Amino acid sequence: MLLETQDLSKKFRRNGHEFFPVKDINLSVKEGQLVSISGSSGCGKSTLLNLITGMLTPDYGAVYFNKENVFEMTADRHAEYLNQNIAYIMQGDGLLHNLTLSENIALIHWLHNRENVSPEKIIKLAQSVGIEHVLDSYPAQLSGGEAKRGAIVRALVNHPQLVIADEPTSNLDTGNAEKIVKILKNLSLDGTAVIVSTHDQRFSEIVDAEYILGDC
Amino acid sequence: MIFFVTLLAFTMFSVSIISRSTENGLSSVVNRLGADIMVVPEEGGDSVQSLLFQGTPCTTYFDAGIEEKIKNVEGVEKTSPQLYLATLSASCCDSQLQLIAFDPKTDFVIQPWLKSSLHNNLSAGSVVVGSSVNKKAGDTITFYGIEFKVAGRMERTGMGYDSSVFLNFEDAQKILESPNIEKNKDLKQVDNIISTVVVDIGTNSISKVSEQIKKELSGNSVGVYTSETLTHSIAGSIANFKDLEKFTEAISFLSAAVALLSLFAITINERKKEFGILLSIGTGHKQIFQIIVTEATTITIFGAILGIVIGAITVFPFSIVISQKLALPYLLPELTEIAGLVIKILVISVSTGICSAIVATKRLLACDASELVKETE
Repeated sequence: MLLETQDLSKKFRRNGHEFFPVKDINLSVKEGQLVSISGSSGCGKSTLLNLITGMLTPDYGAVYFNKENVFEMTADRHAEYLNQNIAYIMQGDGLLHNLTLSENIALIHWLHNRENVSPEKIIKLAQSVGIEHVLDSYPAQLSGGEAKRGAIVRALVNHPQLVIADEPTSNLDTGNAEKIVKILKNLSLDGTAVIVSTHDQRFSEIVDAEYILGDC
Repeated sequence: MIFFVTLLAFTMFSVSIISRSTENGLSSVVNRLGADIMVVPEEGGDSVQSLLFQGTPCTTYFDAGIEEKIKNVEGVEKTSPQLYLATLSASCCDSQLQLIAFDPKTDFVIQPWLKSSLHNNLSAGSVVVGSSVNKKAGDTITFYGIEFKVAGRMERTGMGYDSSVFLNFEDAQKILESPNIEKNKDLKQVDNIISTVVVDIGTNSISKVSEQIKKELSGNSVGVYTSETLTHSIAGSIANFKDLEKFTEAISFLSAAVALLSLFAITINERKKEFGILLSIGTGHKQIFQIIVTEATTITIFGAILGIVIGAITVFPFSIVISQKLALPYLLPELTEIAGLVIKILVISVSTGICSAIVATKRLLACDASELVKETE
């Protein structure tokens, strides 16, 4: 099993009351599996993804990546986990707006490898999602679909074993949303595990497993 | 943020240079007065102090015979007369300055200052000008209708000598005999007058000799000043300026520390989105730390250098104006002292900036990375 969560729970306080958007979640993801997490807004989809990345600390429970507890990783190992083992595509584009798209892509490779990724590799990855013509543009100059596909290319440059995407088709037109769904499905077919949080029904038709968060 | 660091460095540099220059000027006057005792007309004591310390021109005099009486006082080793004559801003004179006449044969106060600017003795018809007088060697200068040749220019002393012109008694006598002297309304008598007698007492007791002089000259309407009484108020000013400098440094440092802490906290807070993204793609805490500290160091070094340069451009060319406005002796610090001050300001600015950045970074990294990422949603 590539990823497992064990009784994963996180509570927040709102208007003086404690509530658990994520409570006793147990999920598992194998290599090459496409898993969706759905549920209404505010039901804890993003919170669950943040817990899986280790960027949010649970109140109890654990996340195991290749049997290694994410919350027992050292700071350096956790940074390596985020950079080399998984890739997180956050809502919005999550690109650094003072860098061009190709610089954004190159940065993630340079951070832990301390070497520049070859321009050919960046172009090849960009061509696979149809954004090679905007590599020298800044994020502010990209359309929503281009920025989202740019974030996917950035996520793939280090060949992660698991890609986590938070609402990857939100705010996109039908054409662009379909492109993203197809890209993520192909990724899983190539052996990369993918977890998406989504409301998009298109994913329901292609996922290997679906988790629905309710009662919120 | 650069603007604030620049302002901080500018304030620290300018205030330090001005207070140290004043302190140097005051110390210079105390150290270089040259005479143990000065005997001046009773009503002219304040004028002589203003002349010596601030360069305010004055004309004051008493009968030259008084010098002979002082010479005979027990404990007096050397005496020399001086005559202070203010020139006029009228057609007879080039500008309003202080003329100081001395006797080259007996003088032990003025001539040590002239050694570096005058290779031979001051010949008849020649004068030496102070560093603030706008004349150079070889120029001519006119007082009370008499033209003099400028034989040299004195180095800066930080005292009233800088705006004075020095000449010997023979030439001073020619001025006193000139018909134009009538324009100086302070001068009621021109024969056999001097303004002060400077006294050297060797290793004798200054208080005893000064008491003896007072006794000998009682009834002559003279003031007897020891170097200590002349510089007493100045010594107080030196202490005040040292306190002012320390106070300014402390206030600048404290306000800089508080302001930089706040500014870095605000700046880092505004950039949560950027740091959240960096953390989400696997940037380590050490790398985030390096990014922020490197930025802080660059900003504070640049800001501090800019502030020092602006301070130097503001303070150095206007030192004469500042000196006049302060009405105090003013002598710029040596280059080594200025270099030390520059290093001190750089160290204070940069270390304060780095400490502020460290505090702000620690607060940033204490948050869950997802909290920072939320800024993007």
